[in-house]
Amino acid sequence: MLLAFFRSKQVKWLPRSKFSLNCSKIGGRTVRFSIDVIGQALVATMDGDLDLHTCPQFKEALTEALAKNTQVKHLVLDVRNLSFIDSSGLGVILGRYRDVQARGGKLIFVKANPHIKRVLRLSGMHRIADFVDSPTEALERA
Amino acid sequence: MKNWIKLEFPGTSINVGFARAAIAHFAAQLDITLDELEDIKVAVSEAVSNCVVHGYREKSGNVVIEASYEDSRLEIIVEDFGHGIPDIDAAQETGFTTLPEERMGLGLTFMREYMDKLLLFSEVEVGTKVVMVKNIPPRQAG
Repeated sequence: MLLAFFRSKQVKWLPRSKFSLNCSKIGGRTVRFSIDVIGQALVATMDGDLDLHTCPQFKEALTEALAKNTQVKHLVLDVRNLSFIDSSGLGVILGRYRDVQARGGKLIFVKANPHIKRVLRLSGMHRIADFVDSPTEALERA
Repeated sequence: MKNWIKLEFPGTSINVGFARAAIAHFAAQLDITLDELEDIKVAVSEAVSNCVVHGYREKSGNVVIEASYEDSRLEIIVEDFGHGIPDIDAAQETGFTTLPEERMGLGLTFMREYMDKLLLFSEVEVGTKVVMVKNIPPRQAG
């Protein structure tokens, strides 16, 4: 059903829903992200660096989207354009994982590059999350 | 050849990205791989984040970074003049944090993992200094 919804949009990329949020922060490095709700999945597409300075905006947006969309069970993070993450960013993701875990959902990373994967592995995140190569595959698992 | 830089800036989160980018630029003067640069960026980001979050959690102050290299040895010293660490042994345990609110306690673990050597010095209400060393192996031409 999710895939049918996704394909019906006939888009190459994740469609923006009314819940989409955009955020950019000037100064130091930037993180940009959009958040879409597709069925029971919250799909966050990230671009830039997620660190101590940039993660509060991301945390706030994810928290708000999860609170508004009580049907959401799964968190899909498309990190193909995420260039940097450290333990501050991981902390935010882990916190939101606990939220979806409490709803019986999954945490799924899409297209993590080797550097991001290494940080995730070192933190133990690879034991609780799925790693896939496309948003479509993520939605199939959700 | 020996070369060095010294940076001093306010211990605020907006400078975390600047610090890792600046040190990465300095390290790039060596014959260094992109993987090694990423390692250095993570380690510096963690060190400076610790200064901001732990060193200066209820006060303000500066962070000083000294970076130097000679031959293939890169040394990075990150220092704050904040609260200091009461129990250095406990602080070095993976998962230990005095601020459990979404802090993973992985900062020192990441620094140790991504660098070849890590030394930690701290005195309560005086400050904390982290010394990190990365050995850059010589590359074969061609």
